[in-house]
Amino acid sequence: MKDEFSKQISEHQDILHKVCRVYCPNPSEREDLFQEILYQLWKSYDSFRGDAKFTTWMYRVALNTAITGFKKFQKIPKSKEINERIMELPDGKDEITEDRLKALYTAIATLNDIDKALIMLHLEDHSYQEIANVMGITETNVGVKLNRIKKKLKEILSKKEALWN
Amino acid sequence: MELDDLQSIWKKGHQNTPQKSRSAQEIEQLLSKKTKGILSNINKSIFIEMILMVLIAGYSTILFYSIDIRLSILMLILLLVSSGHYYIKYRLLNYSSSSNLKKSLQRMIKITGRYLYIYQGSVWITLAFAGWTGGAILSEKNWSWWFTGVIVGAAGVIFYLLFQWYLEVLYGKELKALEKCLYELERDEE
Repeated sequence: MKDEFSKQISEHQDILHKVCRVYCPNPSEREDLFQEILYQLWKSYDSFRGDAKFTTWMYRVALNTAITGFKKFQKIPKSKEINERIMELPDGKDEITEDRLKALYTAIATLNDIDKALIMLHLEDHSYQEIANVMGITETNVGVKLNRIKKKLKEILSKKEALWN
Repeated sequence: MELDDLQSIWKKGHQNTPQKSRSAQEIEQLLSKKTKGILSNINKSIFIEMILMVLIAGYSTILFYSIDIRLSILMLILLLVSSGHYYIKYRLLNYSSSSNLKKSLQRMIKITGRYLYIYQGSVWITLAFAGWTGGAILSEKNWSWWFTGVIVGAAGVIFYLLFQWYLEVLYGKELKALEKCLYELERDEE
């Protein structure tokens, strides 16, 4: 069973990396969160019966761990720091893409824990129904919250958008 | 900027900067390390703390029995309270859930809230008993009732405030943070 589990996790490990990056701004502590989520996934593996997609189940456990059990590593960066990070945009094409992603992560870091989960699931192309299923709220609520998050992120990122064009 | 733009940044960014990839074998090794690692160390610490507490309180119960039976009963109460404390602490640290976030938050709030409730209740009972015992012992020394009352009262207030601070630092903030998360999640719900 452990072999099968490791194989499936290895296949979808990008989910864990993204959750860790969203909830743990400090790279040195990210590995701890990764291991903690991995352990929680293994502990809950028996409860996975295939009624949901494996990735949806992974998101559930990962977000539960990051939000309810890993508070000490969640530090919200100050707005000054956010502005400085977005301003640090290099000229190279790939570096721009990379730094846009960094800026997006930094902007996401200013959101509360719930909004972080919602926007991440949305950016990962999950439907409102899937998001509602992971979060335990209605699809209407997902829509309302995503609109508010979008406005907030737009506010943060649009200030520096000109630098990317 | 629209959400589509954000999705484009998200996807392109992750394509350009792939994360450290681990093989199934590495995952398995990491899991074995983890299982024997942090959490099992925490559990071991809880277990050692519990054993020490049982030994100290147990020894004190026997020791005080020959001096004053009331102190012995107080130690016994402390022993029961601390056993409950370690049991719930263990449950909190080992809680794992694959249900949706709302249910997980509700459950964590329930466990943590119950823990604090039991803990505070136990403190009140212990304080009342300690006050009564302390008062009885001090009155045997022929001190005036008001002086005994002041000493017992002051000791009780200091102990209670310290305990409240200890609970707030350990679990109060955590409970508030969980409640805030649940509030954020349920906000806008019809």
